[in-house]
Amino acid sequence: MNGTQFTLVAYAIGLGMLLAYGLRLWVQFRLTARDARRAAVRVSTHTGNGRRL
Amino acid sequence: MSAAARPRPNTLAAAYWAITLLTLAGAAAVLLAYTPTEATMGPIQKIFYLHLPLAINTFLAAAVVFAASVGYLVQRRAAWDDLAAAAAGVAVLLCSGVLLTGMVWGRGAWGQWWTWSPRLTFSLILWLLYAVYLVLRGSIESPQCRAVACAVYGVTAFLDVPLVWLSARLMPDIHPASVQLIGPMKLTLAAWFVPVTLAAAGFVYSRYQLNPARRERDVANRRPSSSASPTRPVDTGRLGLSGGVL
Repeated sequence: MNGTQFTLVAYAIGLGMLLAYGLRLWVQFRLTARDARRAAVRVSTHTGNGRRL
Repeated sequence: MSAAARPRPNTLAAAYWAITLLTLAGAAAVLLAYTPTEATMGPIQKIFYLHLPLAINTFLAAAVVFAASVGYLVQRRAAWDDLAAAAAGVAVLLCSGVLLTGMVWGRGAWGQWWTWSPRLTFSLILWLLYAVYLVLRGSIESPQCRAVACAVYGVTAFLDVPLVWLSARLMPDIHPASVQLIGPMKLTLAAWFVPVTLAAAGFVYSRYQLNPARRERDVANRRPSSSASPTRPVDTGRLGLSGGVL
């Protein structure tokens, strides 16, 4: 490999890691928000309201 | 400002990440179109503009772990523990980037992926220290014990940061202790510091929001048993959780 190819590989690794971590956080946010919504529905049902939040 | 006109947390988060991506695109454009090729090493020297911001932000994340750990030991507030955990995860991420980009650079410039020079060795130790921090968090079940143990460990682990910084200056090392940059190179370096620092800060903040202990505490605080409004819903928007924006 020449210098330009090494440079491209390094940037692909570095930026790819940042992007992958960001995507992982985004997925975690989506899942957490879903869990929180479901928990809110359970709390509401338990207290007799039953209203979907 | 009225509640309706106030920007929602997710809107602010989306704007923050849009700005981060824009600055990243700008830095890439500067690197491709403006930055001169270094005379001795050639184009491989351009790895430096990503390598150094990752390294400096690793140190900053480690400093946040240190400060938050001290904060927890002094105040015993769970928020400090949450912040230290968030910053430690980001420190491992950034340090991984430093090591990997450095290895690629070393292969191209020195002809070898790795050498046990002082700075490289202390950098690997830094990565191991914060990786072990994350393992430690996962291995202690009691939240109080985990927080105290991790805080003590977080303070201790920070001792490696000055060693990484000083190693190439105080000991013979193949890794350069400092570099001389001309004007356009300094501008490129500054341009790359912005998106990397924004991304690192955003990751720490997002991870801090996601911390399970914080989430459980906030949800518990909104439970109807301790609230005047028995059917008040959990406000996931205020936690920054709804809408799926980092």
